[in-house]
Formats: sequence, C-alpha cells, structure tokens
Amino acid sequence: MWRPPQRIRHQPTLGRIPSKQEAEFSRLFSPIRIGPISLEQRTWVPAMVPWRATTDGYVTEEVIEWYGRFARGRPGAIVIEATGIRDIPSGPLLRIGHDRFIPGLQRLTEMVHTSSDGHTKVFIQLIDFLTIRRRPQRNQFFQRFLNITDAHRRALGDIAISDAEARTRLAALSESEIEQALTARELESLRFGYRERVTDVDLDHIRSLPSILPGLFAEAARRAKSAGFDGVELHYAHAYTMASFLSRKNTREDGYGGSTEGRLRLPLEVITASRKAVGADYPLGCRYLAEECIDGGSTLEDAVQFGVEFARAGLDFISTSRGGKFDDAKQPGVGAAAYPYTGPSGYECMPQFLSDERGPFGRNVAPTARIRKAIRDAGFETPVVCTGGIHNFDMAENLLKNDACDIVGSARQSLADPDWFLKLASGAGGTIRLCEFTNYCEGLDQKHKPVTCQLWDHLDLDAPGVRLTPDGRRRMTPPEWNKSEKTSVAKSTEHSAFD
Amino acid sequence: MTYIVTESCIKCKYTDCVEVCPVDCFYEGENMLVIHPDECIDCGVCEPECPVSAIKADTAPDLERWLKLNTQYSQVWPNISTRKLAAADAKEWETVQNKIELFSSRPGDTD
Repeated sequence: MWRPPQRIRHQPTLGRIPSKQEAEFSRLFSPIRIGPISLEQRTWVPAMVPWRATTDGYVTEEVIEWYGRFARGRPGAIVIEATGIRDIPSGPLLRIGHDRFIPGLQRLTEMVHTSSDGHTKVFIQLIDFLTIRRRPQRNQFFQRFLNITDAHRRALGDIAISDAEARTRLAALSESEIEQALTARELESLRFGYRERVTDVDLDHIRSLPSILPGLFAEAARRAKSAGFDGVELHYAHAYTMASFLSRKNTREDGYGGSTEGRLRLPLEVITASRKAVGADYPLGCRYLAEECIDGGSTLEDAVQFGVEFARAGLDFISTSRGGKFDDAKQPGVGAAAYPYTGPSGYECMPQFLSDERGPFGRNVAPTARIRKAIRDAGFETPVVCTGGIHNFDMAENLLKNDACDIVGSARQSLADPDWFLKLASGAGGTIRLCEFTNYCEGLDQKHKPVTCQLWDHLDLDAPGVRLTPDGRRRMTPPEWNKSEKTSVAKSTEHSAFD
Repeated sequence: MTYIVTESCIKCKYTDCVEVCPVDCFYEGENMLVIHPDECIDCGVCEPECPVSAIKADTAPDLERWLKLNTQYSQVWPNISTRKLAAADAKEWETVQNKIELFSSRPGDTD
C-alpha cells in the first residue's frame, strides 16, 4: 500500500463531548430534506462492501445482521454497499440485475427500518464495473492469454513463425526484451492482469456501453424502489465504469468522451433514465469524485462543473469522494487482481493514520466545499454529503457550520462504533469507540475477507449468538452498546483541527 | 513502510501474530517468522500480540539488518496464516540474548 513518505502519525481524538442538550440543538442532529423525503439527522453511513453476500449476489443472514447493527445506531441514512446492476457473476458482491434479487433486498430494507425504529433511511448504491482479471502466471500469459499478432513476429525478427512458436519464443525473452516486444496494454496485462477501459471501443460490449447502461441503471433503480429502499445512489466514483466516463482520460470519439460535455453525456443520460424509472418523487443521487488524484485525471475544476450539471439534472443529493483508481494501483501478486486503493490515489480515498502534513482527516473537505458553493451559486439547493476521516462531533458540526457540506458521512468511524451517532445524541459521546484509522478493515477488504474492525472483532467471541468469520477467529458484527460502560477506549479529548 | 519481526522471535516462534494479520503477510522459517514488507499495510495489529515483543515498526532505531532479513526470507519461506504450537522449549528462549547466531535460513514446515 502506498502512503506518504513523511509518515507523520495522526491521532484521532474524541474532541469535545457535547451534552445531550447541545447535541439536540446542533446542526448535525437537525433534519434535512433529500428531495421528497427528510432525514432525521445529517449523519450518513456511506457505502462499504463488507463481503457478506453469496457468490451469486444474494443477501445473506450476515448481510441482514450487518446492516441491522448499523441501523441500531440510528444514523440519518445508511447507503447499502455497491450493488451490481448486471445479471452476471461478480463474486460475493450484492446484485440487483434481476427481479429475483428483490425479495432478499426487501428483507434488508425491512431490517434497517425496524432496527432503527423507523428513524433511519436506507439507500442503495448502484454500480457498474468492467472486466478485470487476476495477474497471470508468466507462462500462462504467453501460452494462453496473449493474442499473437504480426507485431510480435516482427519483434521476434521472423514474420513467418507460427503462433505456437511465437508464444514459446516470447516466453523465453528477458524482461527488458519483453518490454520491447509487447504493447503497453499487453505489458499491463502481463504484469497487473487484463483490465478493460471505457475507451476500448474496438470491443462491441464497450462501444455499446452508452446504449446499454441507461437501461441497466434504470431497471436496477426500479427494483430498488420496489424492494423498499428510500432512495438510490448512482456510483459515479472511484475505479468504475461511470467514473471512467467522467474521467479526463476518457478519449472516446463517439460523443461520449473528450470534452467535458462529452464525458458528462452518459452520466446525465443514466440520470434521465433512472429518474424516469423511479418517478419525480423518489430520492435519486450520485457519488462521484471531487478529484481523481491521478496523472491526466479529472481535476476539481471538472468536478465543479459536473456537480452543477448533476444538480441541474435534478439529482436529490450529491456525495463526494476522491481518488481510488486502478491507474496507479500497486502491482498485485500472481493470482491476485489489482486493487484500486493501493496507490497514491487510493491513499487519497482512504488515508491512513500514517500520513503527510495534511493528515488523514478531512482531505476532501475543501474540494467538496467548492463544489457545494458552485452548486449554490448556480441556484440549486441540492444537499451535498462529505466524507473522509470525519470522526468527532466538532469536526462534523464545523463542516456544517462552515457550509462545507449539508450531510456528514463517516464510513470507518461508523464501522468502529455504529452507535457513535446515538451516543453523541444522547450525551454519551465519552463512550465512543474511536476509529484508529489503521486501515485494518481495508486490508481485509483487499483480501476479500469479511470486513470487521480490530477494535471489536476479538471481543466476547464466546457470547451466545455471536456469529464468527468462517475461520472462527473474528466476530462478524459489532457488539451491542453496553450502556453501563462509562469510559471510552479513546485516549484524548483535545479540540479538533476543524475549528 | 512496514512492521518487521526481530531477534526475539528466534527459537520462540509464537504464532499469535499470524492470526490477527488482515493481509496474511507472515512467512515461516524453521525457527523464526518474518513479515513481507511489501504486503504489510502498517496497521500495527500484530505488534501487541507478540508475547516476546519481537514485532517492531521499521521506524525504530537500528533495525536495518532485520528489515533486510524480513525482506529476503519473506520471498522464499512459505506463508503462514494459521496459528500453530510454539516450540516445546519456546519459554526457555524468551529471555536469551543474541539469538541471531541461532537463526536458521531453512523454511518452516508447511503442514
């Protein structure tokens, strides 16, 4: 995993603990409208993939238990993990590409609503992604995966040789000779594993994405509505298809790339189609990147324009993230796939406690504030969600007070303590289990293991009803809030850096 | 960059650390474990697990030799992600100094 060379340790702090009364009158715990509905408070659990679905994409008991647990902390909204809109195998990720997925998802929405006693709204994040393969064995790559061309024969100095002969000779080349003989993309497939781009328009299924995706997203949004979700979040962020259309690296020449308008075209068409599917009175929003944080990628200037256009297109909320791209990901081991949170852009997305001067808390605040201001200046009231290392009351409250955003999201702090909103609201902020931002959870995610938190996954493993990971080492779900507990695991109560 | 396993591990080889590592980056020699520096994500969860405090952040002083050793052997020894019984005489070696002379470059059992 890449991290800043400065390696400055940043310590999260509980900050000032508000009294119950102060919390009650705070911005954080005041309601906010999202299109036709209202959140009771401006707290938000953004989408996290906890690797608990079946390999066929169905909701499991583990999924139900997981989100039920978050709902008992009663945040304003929970966004269910990135859920695939296609009906294709995608490993243990939730799917919504067919009506047969609706009953499981319906159980999930019911669980969130009942576990929060109706206080929490539940949204679902809809995602499309392109093919990425595992890094191959070198031999396998040359014998099976590489498509032999005349360019290879020329590089080998013999245009007449058979494919089989070319494969054998290529496999025998040294690393530096290989670099001469293969194209940049072939070299990438060898060293990282094959990865599709939205610019691979020589492939039918890539060229036709603009005609296919609006319908797929719209159908998925319709299913989400019928499964009882309170709203839909379109995934336009990180390393996935829609973000790749928005990217400056999208050079498609079919009207869906190049200029800002071209890159926005498909994302706007997806919004139009999804809106048509769910109707005007249903919350529809998106999550997208304030900055791609890669060479040649989209900048904040792009994101400002995108945000205004998304608001103009009638989205009911806009949520920001940053980085998380494949372009600068670390080389995976043989047999593993590249993971978009291992390079510098990945660090921007999920910064760890070992950081640079700026630190891991609130790296996306200033960019988000600029996007929000541009949206307001254009005359739209679309609420904006900001996330990224926000973990205490003053931090959250100051973001709202300073008009950086309208809703405060926290993934890792919510994972560490799903009751942290409830604790703050009830004057028990001193008992919050504070995230240490070690990214232990992200390590598990990278290995596609069930995601848990180091602060609770070894607690009370023998207690009745505790569900364990398949290897029996960790509990799957955070323990319940023990209200007799008076002290916190947190060490400090200094003021936050967000005053 | 990473956490590394140092001298105290030699001949003790308690494997409490491997159970908690989220990314399975421990590798096993005949009488010591090492961490793969490129796979370690710096979460630090393993550090307090070690009964003999053998795991250190590489920012601690005078660890170059151990960083080199971890880097070298993590590439040749087998991965270990499940706890196993420590050596029968592990306790006796806990407080012994200068165990480096007893270091074995042979890989651990892969059973």
